Amino acid sequence: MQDNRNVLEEKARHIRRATLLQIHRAKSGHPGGALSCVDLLTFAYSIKTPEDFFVLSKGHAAPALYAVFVEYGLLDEASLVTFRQVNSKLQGHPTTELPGIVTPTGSLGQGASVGVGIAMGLKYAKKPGRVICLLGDGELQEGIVWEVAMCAAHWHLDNLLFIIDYNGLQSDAKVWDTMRVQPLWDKFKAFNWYVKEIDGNRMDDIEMAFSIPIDTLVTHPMVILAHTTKGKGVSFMEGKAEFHGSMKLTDNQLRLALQELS
Amino acid sequence: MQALREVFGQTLVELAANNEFLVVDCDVKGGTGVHHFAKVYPNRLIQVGIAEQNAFGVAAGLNIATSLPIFVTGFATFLMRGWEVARLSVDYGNRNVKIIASHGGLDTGEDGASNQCLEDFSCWRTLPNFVVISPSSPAQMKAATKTVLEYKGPVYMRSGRSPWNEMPFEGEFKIGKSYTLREGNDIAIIATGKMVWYALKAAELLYLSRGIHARVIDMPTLKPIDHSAILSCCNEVKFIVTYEDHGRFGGLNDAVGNSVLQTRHPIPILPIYVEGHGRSGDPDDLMKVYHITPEDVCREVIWEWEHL
Repeated sequence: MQDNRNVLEEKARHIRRATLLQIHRAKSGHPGGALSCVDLLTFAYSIKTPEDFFVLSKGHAAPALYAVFVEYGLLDEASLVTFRQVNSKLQGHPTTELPGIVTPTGSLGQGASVGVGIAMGLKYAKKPGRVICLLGDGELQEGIVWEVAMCAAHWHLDNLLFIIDYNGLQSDAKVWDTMRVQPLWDKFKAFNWYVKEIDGNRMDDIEMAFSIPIDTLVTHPMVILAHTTKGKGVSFMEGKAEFHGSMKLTDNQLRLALQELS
Repeated sequence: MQALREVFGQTLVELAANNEFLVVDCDVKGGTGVHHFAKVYPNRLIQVGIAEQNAFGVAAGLNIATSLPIFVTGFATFLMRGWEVARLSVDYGNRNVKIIASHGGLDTGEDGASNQCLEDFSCWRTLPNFVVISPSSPAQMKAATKTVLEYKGPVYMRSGRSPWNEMPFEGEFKIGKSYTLREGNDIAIIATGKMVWYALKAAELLYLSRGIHARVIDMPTLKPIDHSAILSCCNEVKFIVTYEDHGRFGGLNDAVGNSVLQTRHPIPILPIYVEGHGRSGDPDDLMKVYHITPEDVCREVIWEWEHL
């Protein structure tokens, strides 16, 4: 367990570096929200089987996902320099041009909706496999998310797992001050979901949340409220809304960040 | 006379015997005709409730997981609420999702402005991969449903709320093909959906009152439009009348106009459409109030004809 955790933490560090390198080179991107979910992405892809589906509903974290693909052998590392360039498969938000991306995202709430549809389709076709969707907390302001929440519970989609990258910030300010989505535990519980709340930047917490056997869910969909720090891993970005994006990273910012991530 | 939404629902039942597909409905299976389908194939109707945005994400997801064709049914106006979801999750990936919408146009009747969709042709034409169809008769609806099911890609098709007159239609419905129902070389009336039957009435009136020979073209596919039929009109008649149960912008008149302007000899277009927002009333009364009856068409055509 501990060995595995060390391996995953090392992967997460590489992924953070690769994420910032992409954004710096492209002169635009969303560093804060990409960094906050790296640990969650790293773990999710370590347990994902070919029958499972992963949807990055918070599509602006794309560079983190591309770095995860490289780390897990799904994409060649050389591609990363093409992030956001014209004609690159690594577009600013994920598209199905890139093998391994299930549905295009970048319009908040839609990935969740497609995710619930995939989960329903798997049930209809009696196929195994889980659907894992990663959402942002600001994203929960979109009404479609609550249409999805009702739908998933109504249709007993125990093959659906949502992870909320609960970093408390959105593009201009705190979620709490912009349009409060809290209390989240209460909301998801009221919508009949099975809820877990963890520290989303600790690999041991994440591992524990994922290790709940599926048959204990008793036909509920599950949500992991993963408390994270926006900009996690880079001290001058942590907890700051201004690193949301879409923004340029200066050479100096990159240098300092990579130092911290070495 | 039959309502196209009922024809649609009944046709789905027939097709379901030999074709696997799923239907996502937004709490209006009675209103969209899919109640017929739901009775026979309850496990193939996915009810998402009054949630049109989610309906499109769900449809895309179902298609991803099963590779089956997926129908989305609802009322035309409210389906537009999910347009932005369809734009990315359906159109971008060219997903095999077909929207069949009831309650298009003033034909919706007494429910009034909130329910009468006058913008759908425009709204769905805008998306690069969507095919947009409005059948003109019960028989054509039946044939079009089969074609739409077999077509691989996103489609928006209007059905219809009230019972419409039957018109003969035989053979396969071909996407992108128009049907010349009446020959004539003075003017052409290009109509779609419910207005095709009324276009034939207008053509009769024009001939009887002024001896004007009007070609009548049924243009069920607004996109991809039958450009060659329009080109022929530009070369052969004096002007085109477009006739639709839809608002002024982005529908048939813009689609035909767009086509006309790409020819070497563009001719004028006299557009007949619904001005502004709708209102409650019997559909026949609404046509009078909004000046889109065959008599109105006749009067406007004669004015243009005399001022050529």
